[in-house]
Amino acid sequence: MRRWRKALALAAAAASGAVCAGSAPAQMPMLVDLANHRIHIDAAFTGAELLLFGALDRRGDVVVRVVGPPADIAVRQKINTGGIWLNGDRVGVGTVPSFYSVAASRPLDAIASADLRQDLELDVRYQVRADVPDAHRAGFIRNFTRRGLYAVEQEPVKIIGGRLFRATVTLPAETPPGEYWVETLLFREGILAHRRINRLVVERVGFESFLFDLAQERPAEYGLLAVVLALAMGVTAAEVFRRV
Amino acid sequence: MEIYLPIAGMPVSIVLLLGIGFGTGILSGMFGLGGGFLTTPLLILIGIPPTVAVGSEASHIAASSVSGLVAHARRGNVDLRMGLVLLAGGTLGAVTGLAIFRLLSRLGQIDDAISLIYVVVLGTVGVLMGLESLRALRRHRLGIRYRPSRQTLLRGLPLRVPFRRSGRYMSIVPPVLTGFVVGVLSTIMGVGGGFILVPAMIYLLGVPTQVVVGTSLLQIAVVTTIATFLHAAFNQNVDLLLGLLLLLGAVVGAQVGSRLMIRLRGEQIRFLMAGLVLLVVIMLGVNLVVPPDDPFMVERLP
Repeated sequence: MRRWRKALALAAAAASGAVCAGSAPAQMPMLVDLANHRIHIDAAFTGAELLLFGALDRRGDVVVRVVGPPADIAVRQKINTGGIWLNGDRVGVGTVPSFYSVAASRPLDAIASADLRQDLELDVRYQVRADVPDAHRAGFIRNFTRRGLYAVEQEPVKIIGGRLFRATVTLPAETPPGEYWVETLLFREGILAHRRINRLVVERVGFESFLFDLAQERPAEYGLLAVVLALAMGVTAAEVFRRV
Repeated sequence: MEIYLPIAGMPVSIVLLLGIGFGTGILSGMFGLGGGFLTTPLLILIGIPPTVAVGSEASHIAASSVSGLVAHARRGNVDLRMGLVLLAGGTLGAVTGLAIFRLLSRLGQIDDAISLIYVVVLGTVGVLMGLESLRALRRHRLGIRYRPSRQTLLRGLPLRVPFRRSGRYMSIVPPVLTGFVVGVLSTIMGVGGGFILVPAMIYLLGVPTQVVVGTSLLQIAVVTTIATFLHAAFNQNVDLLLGLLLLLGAVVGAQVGSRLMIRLRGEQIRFLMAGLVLLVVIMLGVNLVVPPDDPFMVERLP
């Protein structure tokens, strides 16, 4: 994970360098943008679609990786204890992306060799610390995949006429708020030819943001608010129904 | 129509929450309980994180029990002295309960602990109440008048005081202990504790039935109010939006329930309540015994 972050920073520096050094935008091998750079979680939020589009100077394979904010995760295995299923010991998975998706224009193994895919840590396995037991690692990835938080090669990147491309990434209802990195990789003849990074912010807005921030930052005041609201509602209800 | 719950971090159907609130409201109006013992497992069933279900449910019961308390106080059905004695124990119990809740949360055993405590406590109460009400129903059929014994096992304890409204002269030790146990369970389980308190006051403390509901609501209102604050302040697991939606359904349901209750006799009500409690026990018990779809559970560390 940390190794990947460093690579990302290097790539971002290289990408901005490429923009400065490039003689004309027309000579860029690939241009990429997001339809939305901010996704708002409001009261009606039930998930979102992230639309990414771009252009190539000539044919190639495109891979889009979306990495969510890091989260500290632990896994427990339910163990049958005398007929009852109880939680076993907690196994730390470490700091992993809370969201991770990879989409590609062709199956990944046709685009890049296993070595290159491993170097780029494309497989979701590499996001989990190596010393985590296999069963727990697999259990964690299965859980996140089921919840739509991890998605590898589930929706393809569509290339139109060999020059234009677009990808849609499904963000589920429980998408964690935070800073997301959208990385677009261009492969030609099995070699990484270009890399672009876009930033995406997922944030709570309005009432959701107000309540959440209050609960987290001023828990005592939030508790008082909860109590006052509950008491006021109770008394009001009693008054209203006295007359019915 | 779905609404995103800010603390639970997920969208839930508004109609579903209003419906759950309405259903438990009917039951609370009929049986004089908060209904939390049913709502909390239902919330966990629809995917609300267990700790958020427990914390938010406390705010829901606080509001609905205050609503019932005001109505009962108006009719003079609250034994204030008995209520205060129960509360002295209940407050201590709530603080102890929160400490246990935090300890279990840290050990990562809170989900299992909540389920296990539910099964054991609800199972015991359900079976005892079911047997008692069956006996009462049989007596009614045979035409025998039953007078509950005023002599409890708890005579001879110190600190005897008169409880005028309840017509009892007894030690404050049993009500303090009853309040304490209910306080602990309320905080851990996210329930008002009425389903323990109501039978305990009838069978153990010998309080007249008409005074029981109002007095237990006083205890429930205060304990869940404290629990709401403690959960919000120390665990940040109270979702106000969730509590509010449940409450809107519950206040209407409670009125419907109290009208249904008038048509039933005491032992019929207790029999139905026992059946309901046992149904929840079976539902939770099955969950503990049936192998999970995926044995690996994932949790986010703070």
